[in-house]
Amino acid sequence: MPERSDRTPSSQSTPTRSFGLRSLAALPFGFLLFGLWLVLSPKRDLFHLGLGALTACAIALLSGRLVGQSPPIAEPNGRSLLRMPWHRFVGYLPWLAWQVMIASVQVAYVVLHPRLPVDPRLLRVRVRYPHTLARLTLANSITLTPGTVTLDVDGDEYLVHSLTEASGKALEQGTMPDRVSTLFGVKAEGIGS
Amino acid sequence: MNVLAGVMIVLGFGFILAGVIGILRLPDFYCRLHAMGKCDTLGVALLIGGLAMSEGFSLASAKMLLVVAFVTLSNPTATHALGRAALRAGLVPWTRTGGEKGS
Repeated sequence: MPERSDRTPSSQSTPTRSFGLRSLAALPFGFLLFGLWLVLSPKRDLFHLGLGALTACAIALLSGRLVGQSPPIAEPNGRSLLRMPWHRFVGYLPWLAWQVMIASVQVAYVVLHPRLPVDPRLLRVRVRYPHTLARLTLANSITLTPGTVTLDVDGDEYLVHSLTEASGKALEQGTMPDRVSTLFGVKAEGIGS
Repeated sequence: MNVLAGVMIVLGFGFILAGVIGILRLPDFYCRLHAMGKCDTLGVALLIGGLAMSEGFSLASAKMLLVVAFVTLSNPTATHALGRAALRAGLVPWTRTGGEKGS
């Protein structure tokens, strides 16, 4: 039984050819999924490894369209998710992690303060990006940083809820749009509130 | 190594506790989102990261690090989704000048 089941993944290569270029883009995704399987599944016998390989191949092929093609959020530049400037995230992530630390300490301070110094505001921030993925990243980064949560994005306008007045000001004068700009290599136009 | 793991676990508990106190003390839904989205993300990351560190390099610690990665991805997303849903439902944010005390 195990001898046979480990051949099932190789029989998967027949539909692979008919999928053509698209399945090539799915290949690294399939390896990633199989790596995840190896971490999550403690059993190392042929049956379970074969099952993992089969599942990884199937998911990679079925969702290959999503990974390999340019998703609608990457327009108008039309870059696919695989060709995003991932290497720039290496510089962005530590900064973001540090901001998350500051954010948590600040919220903890406000919450534990005896007089509860909150002064919540709704702010509208305008940042114009030609790139939808950059807008998404900015909105998510605002949510993670001190005292602000993005509630809605409508075109170039971000509706942000800030916990204190200071955190709202920090966002308006902050460097976050610039950092997202360098991350994606695009230019933000008309920053203001 | 064990000392660092212990510090991380205690700090993680501290942040989760701060998040819970925040949910109890803050005036309205939107403010509570801040407590839930930020303190809990860092708290869970520190707590499970500390546990992974005390476990050492093993399959179990790799799984714990995966849990940390997924929580840090999904928690801010859920925070945003909740806030947006509340806004669309027409929940008016509490302000200090608004006078009325939200629930």
